[in-house]
Amino acid sequence: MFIIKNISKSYGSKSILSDISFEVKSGICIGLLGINGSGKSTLLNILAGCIKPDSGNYYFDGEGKLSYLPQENPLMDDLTALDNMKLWYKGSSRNMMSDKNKLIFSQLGVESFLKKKVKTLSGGMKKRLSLAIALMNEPDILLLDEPLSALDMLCKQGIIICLQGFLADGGSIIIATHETAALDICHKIYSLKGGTLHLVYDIKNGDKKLTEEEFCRILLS
Amino acid sequence: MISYIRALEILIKRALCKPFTAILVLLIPLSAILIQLIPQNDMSTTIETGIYIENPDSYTDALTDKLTKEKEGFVFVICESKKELINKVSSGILDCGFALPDGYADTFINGKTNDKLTMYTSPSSMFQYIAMEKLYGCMLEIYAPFITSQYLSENFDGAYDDDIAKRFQTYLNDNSVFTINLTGNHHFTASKQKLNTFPIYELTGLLIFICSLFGVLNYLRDESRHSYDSLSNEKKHIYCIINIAAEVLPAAIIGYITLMIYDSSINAFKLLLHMLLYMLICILYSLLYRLLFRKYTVYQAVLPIIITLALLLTPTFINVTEYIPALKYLSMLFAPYFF
Amino acid sequence: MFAKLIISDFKRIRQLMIPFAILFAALLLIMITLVRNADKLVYQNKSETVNIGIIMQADSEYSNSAYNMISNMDSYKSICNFIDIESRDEGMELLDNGSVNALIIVPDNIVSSIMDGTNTPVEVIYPEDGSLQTFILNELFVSTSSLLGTSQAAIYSVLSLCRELDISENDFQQASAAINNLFLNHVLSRTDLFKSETLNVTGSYTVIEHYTAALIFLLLSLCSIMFMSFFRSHNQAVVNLLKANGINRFQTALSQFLSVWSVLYLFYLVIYILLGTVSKLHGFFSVSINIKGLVLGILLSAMIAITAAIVSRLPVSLAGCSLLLFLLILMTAYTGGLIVPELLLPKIFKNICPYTPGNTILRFICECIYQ
Repeated sequence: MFIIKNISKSYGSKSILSDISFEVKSGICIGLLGINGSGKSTLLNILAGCIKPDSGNYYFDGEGKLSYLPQENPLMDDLTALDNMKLWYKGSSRNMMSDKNKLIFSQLGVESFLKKKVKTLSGGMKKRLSLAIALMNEPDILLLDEPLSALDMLCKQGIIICLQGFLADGGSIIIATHETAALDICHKIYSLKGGTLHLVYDIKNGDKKLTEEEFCRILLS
Repeated sequence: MISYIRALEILIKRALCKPFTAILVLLIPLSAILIQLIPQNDMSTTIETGIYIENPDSYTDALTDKLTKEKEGFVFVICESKKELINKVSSGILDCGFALPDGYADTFINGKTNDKLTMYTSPSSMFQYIAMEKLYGCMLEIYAPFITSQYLSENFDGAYDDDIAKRFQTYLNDNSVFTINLTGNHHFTASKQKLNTFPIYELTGLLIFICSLFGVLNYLRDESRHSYDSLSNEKKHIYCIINIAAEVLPAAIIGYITLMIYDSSINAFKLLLHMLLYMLICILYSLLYRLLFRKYTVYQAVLPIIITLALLLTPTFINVTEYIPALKYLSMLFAPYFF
Repeated sequence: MFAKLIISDFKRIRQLMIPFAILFAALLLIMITLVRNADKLVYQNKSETVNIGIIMQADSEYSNSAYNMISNMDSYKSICNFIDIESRDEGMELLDNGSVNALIIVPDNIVSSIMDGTNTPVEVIYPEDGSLQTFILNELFVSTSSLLGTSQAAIYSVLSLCRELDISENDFQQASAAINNLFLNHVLSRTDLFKSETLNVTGSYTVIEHYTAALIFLLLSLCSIMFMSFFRSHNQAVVNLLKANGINRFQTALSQFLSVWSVLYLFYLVIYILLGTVSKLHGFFSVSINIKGLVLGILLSAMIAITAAIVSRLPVSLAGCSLLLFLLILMTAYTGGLIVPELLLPKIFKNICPYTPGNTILRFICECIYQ
């Protein structure tokens, strides 16, 4: 389990996050909903360890690994896809092409452009590559910031299937997104408004799946 | 057409808001003002030779008095220290220099050659041998009576110093010795001209060229940020030209006004035509660079090199092609060559 | 992770090697041309020889030897070109049309008149318009003739005194010969009184050595501007992820610095070996390949790479960083006397030059690479 307790963050006098607390259990996908500038990326950056919170804490209950996929692809354009993978892979390069990883790569379709330079890849290819890099380190928790933005339907579908497989294997996801396709796989959805977190959907409570209209209402309210 | 003019207006505003462009543009009138304020050097055609005397005495005082009498043409300048003499000769301020060691007069009178007088020259020295002859001639004239006195005292009894000196001067002044008859005009009055050597015209041309390079830089930066993705190739070329023109126009206008004020004798219409043609050349050259270095990251790395080469190879501060003709063709790759 | 980052940066910089090499080669070629001709650029004076027409009717052995002695004098050889002319009319015509700048008419009895004391003057005719050339020629003629005139005045005063002293004819002849020889030897050996020392505007090193050392610094520095995009190529996502993986900004910068340093050192070795080879083949300068030179390369490349890394971190655009680095290089080079020698700098810069980093670098390079 991944526990987030009383996270707060301000930039100057502006409070971005105020006393954020929630838990992420194994196999659960948490969705973060919010308008642009509501603090979703800030929260994910804090949880990834990129930014320090003003107060609060987050930790694994036991052992756990975390992987972060930012909104902008964390790729070095001058290197090939394979070199980027080698850079971000935490283990030995020899173990990078394990069966599990190969499965992920084939699911995401990155094998076909491993030797190509990143700057020659399309937006969808870059996103799939970034996700493959995030998954290949066998994380327990995956932090995703807008993973489906600017992608075509087929690409989105492929990523969703991959994420569902990850969840099925016991992994957890915290996903910041506007895409209804992504929110469909969420077990819990929180709305981030005014720096505070509000639970708007919990599958355990037997809530019905939210429609697009309901998402918009939540965003606009 | 109207949209292009509007784009030009907006891009000119953008260009002028950038401190670097504003500085470049203002550099032209600022240098013109500075040149007027700084007192200009007199250009003199005197040939200066330095003299340093290690330990002045009565013998050397007579020599320096004679040497420093002339204020025009070949002029001897007394240096206070050897370092000053060496520095001035090295830097070309003095054509050459001579350092007289301590007690040199005695050495000269006795005809000894072990204690030598040092003649300092530099690769730019042209008249060192003439200066040497002049110096020796002066020394011989001053010390000849002492040489003869010494001879007489060694070979004859009695003291004849004053007598010999009087006789010597008499013979020297009454034209009974060897002379040359001069006809024609060998006089040359060193003209003290106020010479302004600051290349304001060349600098104006160079700055306009640099502004055009920045125009291409702006275009490529915008292109890398996908600002022109929606445009056809033809329109992209037009926007590239607009970007270059946006940088060049303010510099050209300020440059034109400055040059008109700086040099009132200049023909306004001719200068205007010249400027327009030069602007066109700058735009063409900039388009060429854009074709060569298509990407923003490549162009921004190469830009300082282009500016360096333009500074070196075009006749702004130094005309290298005058001394190294082989570089002439290379200097044609930069627009300031044609200004 | 840090090791992987270093490997990745080396892989990235490998792609810049070819464009860097092209730029390096192009700049090297141009700079070598300029260095090779540095003497001409620094010392822009051109000395022109002046034509002097000489009409020498006397054909005696003494006249000819006197003419040879004068025309071989360094002072005359350095600026004059003597042209033998047959007649006065021909000489005046050449003078009028500017073919000669002066006309010397040596009388028939020049030698005998000097020996017997009548001293028939030599006629020197200049054109009507005075010029710097005629002035210089006149200075030369007057100086030369004054040597003879002064010697004669001294000799005559001794001889006139000797006559008054009423010494014997034999003693008088001896005194005459002695005083004549004294002054003749004095004048003929006058060049032995001088020792010449040629100074360089660049101090103890020749102009070519000075600018070769400057070339090394300028070439590496200017080419390092190319690495600005390399230093700033990471987007915020990469930076954040590196941070999440325990790599801070300093480590990122260090990794990039190591790659740039290696490339710069590699190209330094190329220049160093090239200069050493040229030195052995042609001898323009004496560059020795030794440990000091190799260590110099390490330090120089490191310094340039650090400077580029620091400038790349400034909060300006990529082009702004490149231009700032360029201006910094230019300023360092100018104030250090790498572009214009220290002695030729304006007074303000001349005073501070010895204390500037550029001048320190230049001196250090010269000390390390030259024998």
